[in-house]
Amino acid sequence: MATNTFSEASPKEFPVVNPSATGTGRIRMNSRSRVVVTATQALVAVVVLLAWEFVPQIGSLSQWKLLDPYFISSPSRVGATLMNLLLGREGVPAVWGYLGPTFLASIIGLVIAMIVGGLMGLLLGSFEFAGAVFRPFVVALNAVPRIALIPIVVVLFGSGLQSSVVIAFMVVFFVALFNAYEGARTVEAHVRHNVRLLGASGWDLMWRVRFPYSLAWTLSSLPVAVSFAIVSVVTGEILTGVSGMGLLITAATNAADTSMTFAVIIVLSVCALLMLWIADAFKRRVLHWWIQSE
Amino acid sequence: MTHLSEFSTRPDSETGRAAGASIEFRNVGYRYPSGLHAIDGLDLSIAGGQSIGIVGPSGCGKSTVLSLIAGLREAQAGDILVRPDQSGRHLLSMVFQKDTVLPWLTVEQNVKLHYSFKKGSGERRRGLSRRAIDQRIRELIAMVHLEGFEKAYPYQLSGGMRRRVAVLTSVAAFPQILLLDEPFSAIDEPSRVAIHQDVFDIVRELGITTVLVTHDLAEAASMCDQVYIMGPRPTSVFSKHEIPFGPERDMMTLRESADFLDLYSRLWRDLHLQIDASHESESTRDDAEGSH
Repeated sequence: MATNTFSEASPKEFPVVNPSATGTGRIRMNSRSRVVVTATQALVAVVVLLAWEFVPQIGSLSQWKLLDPYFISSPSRVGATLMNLLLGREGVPAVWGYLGPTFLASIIGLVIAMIVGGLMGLLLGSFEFAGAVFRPFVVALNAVPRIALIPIVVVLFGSGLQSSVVIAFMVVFFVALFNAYEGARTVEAHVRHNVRLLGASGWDLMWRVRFPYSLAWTLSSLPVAVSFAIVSVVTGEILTGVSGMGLLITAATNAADTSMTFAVIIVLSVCALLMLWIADAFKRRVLHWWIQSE
Repeated sequence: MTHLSEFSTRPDSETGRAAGASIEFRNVGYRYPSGLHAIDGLDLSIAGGQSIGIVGPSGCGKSTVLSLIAGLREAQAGDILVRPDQSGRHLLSMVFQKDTVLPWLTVEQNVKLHYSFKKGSGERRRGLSRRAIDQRIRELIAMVHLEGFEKAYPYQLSGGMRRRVAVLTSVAAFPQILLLDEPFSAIDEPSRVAIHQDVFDIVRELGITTVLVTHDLAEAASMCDQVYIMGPRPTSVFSKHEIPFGPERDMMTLRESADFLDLYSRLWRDLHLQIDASHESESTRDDAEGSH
């Protein structure tokens, strides 16, 4: 499952996010139509949950594997398992001890990768020669299916927090690098000429002009980077099976406990949404000038 | 008109007139890297503190003349002499046709950009305190009616205001030479005439040597001391016109005067000839290419 999710981010479509394309993201609506949309969304969610719960109970539909609660569980069972997982009762271990390492590794890997990748992208984008020399290497490295490198990382760094951090770093690094590189490289000629004629040195040009654009592009890739970090860390944990949410998923799958698998996925999703929300708030604060000028 | 405090262009002791850098082109030729011949045998002579306008058929290489003065391109033939004056002021800045305002800086930060660079902060070593510079810049901001918007970000401004910020950013470096590359073409006519007045007043006040490239004959006629009409590519000067309106001009009423309209029609006649010539040379070029 995790491998599938991961392949969505195959190197071919590595996400160079054009921030101007994702700047606002939200469709502006008047408050009335927003209420209608929210209500309809809630309705859709309720209908799906009700169908999931009750359709398998109609006649002998549950004999069909895809509607058999043994395989697909049901909202009430998932809900009950989720509560047990959160509270650590009825023989179910509390989720926090598993969530901690996953969350921590994702964040540390993400932050280091954004900073290091961003700075390297800025350097490559600022120095035409360096950019020309290293670009093919970076593209080649980015094309490596990094999921396949996880075993090597585990051999090198063991199976603890350190290796999870390295895994997250490996994946996010190139996202940050490519976006920072594009941001720095694509500063328009007239903008560069203007500041040079106003007395900017090469150093000024890099830090005072290319850097803000690089930052805008890099931060715009943050939502993608957040999901990449979590997915890669969990994948690593599934492969090593030693700690974290990956271990919980492996254990639940081995015990054919679908309710548990779903509950773990829900916790992970909420976690990812929380991180995305923080990332978005950070972006809006730092990049108000970029978002507003759309 | 507001007068700028503490600003002096160190008047030339003999003439008593603001010095300003002079620019001279001698038989200059330029080809683009693609091989396209842009400029051929161009002679220009711009005295210190003068404003000249360059007008010509589109694509004739007018903007290239500015790039050559700015040192953004290098001529393959002839000589370009830029003689700085004695003031020690920043030599040259340019207002580009496209937007160069940095969107993450406020209006004030943009306008002071020159002084935020190490090179620009050398102004202070030349005897101007930070306070004096701040004072001068405040006056400039007032002159172009941007008071109250000092802390605003560019996205909060209208198109005309953004343009004013771009112009002011270049002017606030108090350069000896100001190059203007179709800087007002994206603005509606009433705002444009108002900005003409602002820029004209500042340039006169500071004794800045100005080269304006434009499509707009009225703009060139109202802002300059001389207007050059350029021929088709490879371009050189077709005709030179003295503008008789002097340093005290009111842009709004100038355009209503008979002298202005007469001058305009003379400029237009020459430009018209060159536009026709440029179409002709294009069609003969096409024929030549078609016959291969």
